Amino acid sequence: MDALTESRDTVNKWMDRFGVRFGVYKNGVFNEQLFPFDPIARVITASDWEYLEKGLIQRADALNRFLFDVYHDKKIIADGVIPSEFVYSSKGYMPECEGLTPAMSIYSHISGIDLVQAVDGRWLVLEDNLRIPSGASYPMIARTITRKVSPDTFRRNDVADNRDYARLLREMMDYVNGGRGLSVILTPGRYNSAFFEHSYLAEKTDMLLAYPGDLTVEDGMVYYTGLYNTRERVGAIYRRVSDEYLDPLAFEATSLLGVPNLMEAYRLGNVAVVNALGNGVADDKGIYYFVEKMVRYYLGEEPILHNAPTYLPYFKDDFDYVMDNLDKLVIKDVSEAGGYGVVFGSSLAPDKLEELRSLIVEQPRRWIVQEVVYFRDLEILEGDTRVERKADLRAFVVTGRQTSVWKSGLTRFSRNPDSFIVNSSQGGGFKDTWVMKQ
Amino acid sequence: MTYTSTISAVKANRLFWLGRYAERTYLNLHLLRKYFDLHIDEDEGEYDVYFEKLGIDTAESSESKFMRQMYDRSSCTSVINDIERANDNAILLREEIQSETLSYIQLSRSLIHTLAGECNPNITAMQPVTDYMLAFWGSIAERIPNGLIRNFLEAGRYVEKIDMYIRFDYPFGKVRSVFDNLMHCVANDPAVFNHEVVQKMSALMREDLYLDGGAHYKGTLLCYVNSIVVI
Repeated sequence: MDALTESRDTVNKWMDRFGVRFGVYKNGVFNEQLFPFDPIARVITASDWEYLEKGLIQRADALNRFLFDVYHDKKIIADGVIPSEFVYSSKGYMPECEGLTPAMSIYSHISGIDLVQAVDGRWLVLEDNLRIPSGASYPMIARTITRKVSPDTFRRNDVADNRDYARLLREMMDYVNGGRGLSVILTPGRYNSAFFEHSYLAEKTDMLLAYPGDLTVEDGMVYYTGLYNTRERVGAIYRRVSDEYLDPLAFEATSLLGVPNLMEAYRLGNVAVVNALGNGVADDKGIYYFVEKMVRYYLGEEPILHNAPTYLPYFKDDFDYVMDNLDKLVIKDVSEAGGYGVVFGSSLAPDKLEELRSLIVEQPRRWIVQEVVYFRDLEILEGDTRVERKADLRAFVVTGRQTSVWKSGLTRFSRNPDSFIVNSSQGGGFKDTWVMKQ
Repeated sequence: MTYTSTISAVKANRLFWLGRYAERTYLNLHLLRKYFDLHIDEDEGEYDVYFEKLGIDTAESSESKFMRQMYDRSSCTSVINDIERANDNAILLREEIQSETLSYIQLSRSLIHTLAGECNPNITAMQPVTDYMLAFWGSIAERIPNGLIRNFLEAGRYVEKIDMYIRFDYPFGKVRSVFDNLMHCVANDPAVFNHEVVQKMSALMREDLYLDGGAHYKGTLLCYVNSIVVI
């Protein structure tokens, strides 16, 4: 890998050349910046991958079963596995999706499962992202570039090829489309932080990139409006627009990003929407606590992958433990995302800690609390020096005809030595993820 | 698997303007170099022609004028503005023009920004931008099989060429040959051109008129060429 690390600047120049950027709003101003790439890849052994792959497929399948159940029979609630208030008070639960079955009964077509490897080598799931998990495009293009820049590195290392993500995505889209019409990627536009990804995936999957206004609904069918007002039917939409903005006539009325009446076409089964609407109920931080129980309940199997040790103040025993150990735990606001709303008890001044304690007492459902997980740090290059930093792994699980895991993933790292927050929006960088063939 | 060659009207418009701004970047740089060369040892009047034709105030010092024309982002005639506008369109067309084609715009933009940051007065340092622009057009010819997309890009390119050639008094033969290329674009996709303007412009594209033509004739031609596309 040394040859590759020596080529870091060349790799970054190639990234610049291909416009590999992400957008950030700071003080209301939009800026595009390079996503800092670190050339020292995360290496996952073949045996670790075999274990991860099985666990990730199991988890994504259980989550899909949960989503179907929660919008249909609700057996998991009736059987007392998950308290109903955790479902119905979740911001991601959408009553509009009750009784609605998406194409091929798949809800989470693309599941972004965030994991960390603890210092003892265990892999732990930090969160499930089942709405619009982003980030696959960065390792895709990074691998294309690093293979150009340092072919010897890949000649000497038996790394599984990761350039098939576009194929996985396209096959899944074709499967849920079922030949009804075009498959498109719906982007909110250039000023979305992940616009690079939208356009790159459209290019690599050979799907149309549609903007708000390109799609219309008539008689329950979705159409793409082409030049001279020609119309072509759309069979599947990989939407990169959040649920609440997707249809102004069904949800947020002021949204200019959505497609009026899309919900009607979706309800009639005339278009597949990827990922399905209403998935937020399953990747709610409060529901995360129950995912291992879902695996046992729906699949009758013991979970292969485990969560980081988590407590729900909603439950008396957990509440007592949290109150006694608040200064040693990580407290997460379930309604926040992107690394926001995460507080380390140890970092709070006594008065702030007491303030937080009061909030937990007042609104126990609002919080999940976790033990601090000591990640296995990964080496990154800082200048010419190798230093260790916190890093996570977002694995991408694609569910179409079958569920498969992309042999790669997005490894994000914190550039701040004192931080556990790896999100790109907060200054984190990324590195390639090598899954070894043997 | 369902594929389509269709594009939206908004994308067609962006393709046209990408073609225009990419060509303007190339031509503006070409002309800037030509007049910069005159500035080395000719009278001020010789190289000030460039600024006058683009409607730029000539009262500034020559160094200041050339620097602004290269790097002033607030000037709508500067090279850096041309590449920014090309990029604004190209970045929204990645899936149509391919990342490799887009990369030539990105390379040009990065280089110009670096030179602007250094306040580099050496116009020769921008030579790679000319090379990238030529590669950009080569990449379009090589990598874009969709004739509809190529046609919009080329229409933009030819409209821009005609505009600049007329402004800078290029010989009639050059203007005419580009006009003929534009007419191929019209034949390929007649619906996006204003046929009344096409006819009027065709009637004016005569060598005798061009050679005798004064400001009014050129103004009319410029008006027509800039309203010939109706996306």
